[in-house]
Amino acid sequence: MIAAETSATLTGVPYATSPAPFIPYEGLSGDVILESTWAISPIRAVLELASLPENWDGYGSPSISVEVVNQAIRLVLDVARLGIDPLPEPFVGPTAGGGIILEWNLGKRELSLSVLPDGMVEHVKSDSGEPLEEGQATWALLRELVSWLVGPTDPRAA
Amino acid sequence: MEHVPPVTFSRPPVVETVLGVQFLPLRRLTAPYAGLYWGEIRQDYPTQEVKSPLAPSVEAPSAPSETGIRFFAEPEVRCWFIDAEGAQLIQVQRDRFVRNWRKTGGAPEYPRYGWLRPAFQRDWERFLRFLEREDLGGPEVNQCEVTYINHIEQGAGWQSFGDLAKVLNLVARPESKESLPEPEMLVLNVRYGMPDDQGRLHVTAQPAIRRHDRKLVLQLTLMARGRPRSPAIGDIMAWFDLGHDWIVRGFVDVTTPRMHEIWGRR
Amino acid sequence: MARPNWADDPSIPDEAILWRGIVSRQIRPNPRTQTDGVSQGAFETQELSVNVAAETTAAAVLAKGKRRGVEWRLWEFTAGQARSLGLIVDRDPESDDPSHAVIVRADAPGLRLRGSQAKQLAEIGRWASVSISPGPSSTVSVG
Repeated sequence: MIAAETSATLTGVPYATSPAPFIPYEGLSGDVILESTWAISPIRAVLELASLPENWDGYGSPSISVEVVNQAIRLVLDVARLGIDPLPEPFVGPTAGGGIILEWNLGKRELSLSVLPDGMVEHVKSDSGEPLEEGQATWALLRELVSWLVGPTDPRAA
Repeated sequence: MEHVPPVTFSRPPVVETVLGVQFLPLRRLTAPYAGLYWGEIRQDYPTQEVKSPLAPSVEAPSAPSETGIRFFAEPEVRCWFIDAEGAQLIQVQRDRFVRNWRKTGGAPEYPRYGWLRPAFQRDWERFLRFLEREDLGGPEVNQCEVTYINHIEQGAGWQSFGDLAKVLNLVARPESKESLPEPEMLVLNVRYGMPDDQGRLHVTAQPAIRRHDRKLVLQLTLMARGRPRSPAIGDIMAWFDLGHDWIVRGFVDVTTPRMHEIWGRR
Repeated sequence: MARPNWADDPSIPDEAILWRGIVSRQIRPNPRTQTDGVSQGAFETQELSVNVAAETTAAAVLAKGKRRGVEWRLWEFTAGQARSLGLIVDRDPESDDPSHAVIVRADAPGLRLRGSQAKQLAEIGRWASVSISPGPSSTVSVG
């Protein structure tokens, strides 16, 4: 009965903005309950971006909305929940349009997950800097993307 | 009768409190009526937000806690009405009335149960008068809840998850230090039954990142929930007193004397 | 400035160097190159403002950033490189910045650059290597 809202990360459904159920937290303050220590640094980095002012990049980029921050937190927790280990921490940064991006480099493989200002999440999968694939992210695809990032190199590759 | 808490602290780590009641759904309490109610309290609670509703929860005697699902033809909403400091909050949905206090920059001191209790009673009675005036039905309260959320900051009694035995009596360090390394994570979930099927006390401890300053904290939540003897205001308040007592005693029991000293036990 | 009629400007030749100001939050280590790289997020926008290097100076661009309250490092790539990614480069002179230009998608000007386009701008570019005459302030950032 406390202000707890359970997470409902929906398999196969694209990440969306509210009123989709939010990440699990208890209390009014939106403090982020952790299930793994891996999430500590990325969550802190996301929360730090919440305080960016308008025009933080000198090109008129808006400050990052609470909805985008919350969605990015949700994304970090969902990645943590995949339980893929080891997984390096992502670079967490703002995007020019007022979103938040998570970027990973692992060897030649790179993965980016961008939370857009409308709350949708898009991914770009790259190898040696060359984009291989991009599109909207879903929960099911999230596992596939992160598994690819950390997985063994395809022995069939030249 | 004035309620006297069993133990007090001069620097309690509490950051949020909840007093709330759950009742059988008032079918006519739709979103527009919630707006009308806001009109009556707007001077005290000038800000509003709309959230998705909380699921019903029941502490059934001699059975596990249950969280249920209800379906209504109309969309369900939970309305938040927030005071100017952002520290006091009333939450209203068809089957809930909840009053929260949280620590903010404008309200940094825990106001004590002696203040929270009459504040809830005042706001609840005002809500009841509104329901009666608008002919929305009388709530049949079937659950009361008291929750205290505490933040124990990293560095204030503990540094790593291996230190949590210094904070919580529920955690013990392994006697042999030869086998397991320091724990990476700790999540605790304990439940205690109150006597005479009056309800349950839930104690949870887990790490959290505090949003406003990004600090790592151990969030220690104590929630007492159960059925009052009747929906009458006297029995509701009596249950709150019981729940509060269980929370205070539970807090003292699950935390260590070392932490009590840090918090200024009187 | 938002305009509905972006069109590629051939007076900006393919070899023209374009500068984009990057703030520190957009800089990330690139393990492959073992250098500071740029986050793809720096280019994920609908209308990407740049300066035509040949028509201005690094000092002027950096001063523009300072007037806007930010410290930039300049990331550079050519107009031809941007065009090869399916982008167009159009002039958008401003009253205090005649060298200002904008990069938008060729297929859908006004829509956000694709993630792959933003990624490749972060890959193909490099830090501008320009010399600035030392002045009273020695805090000018360049690559």
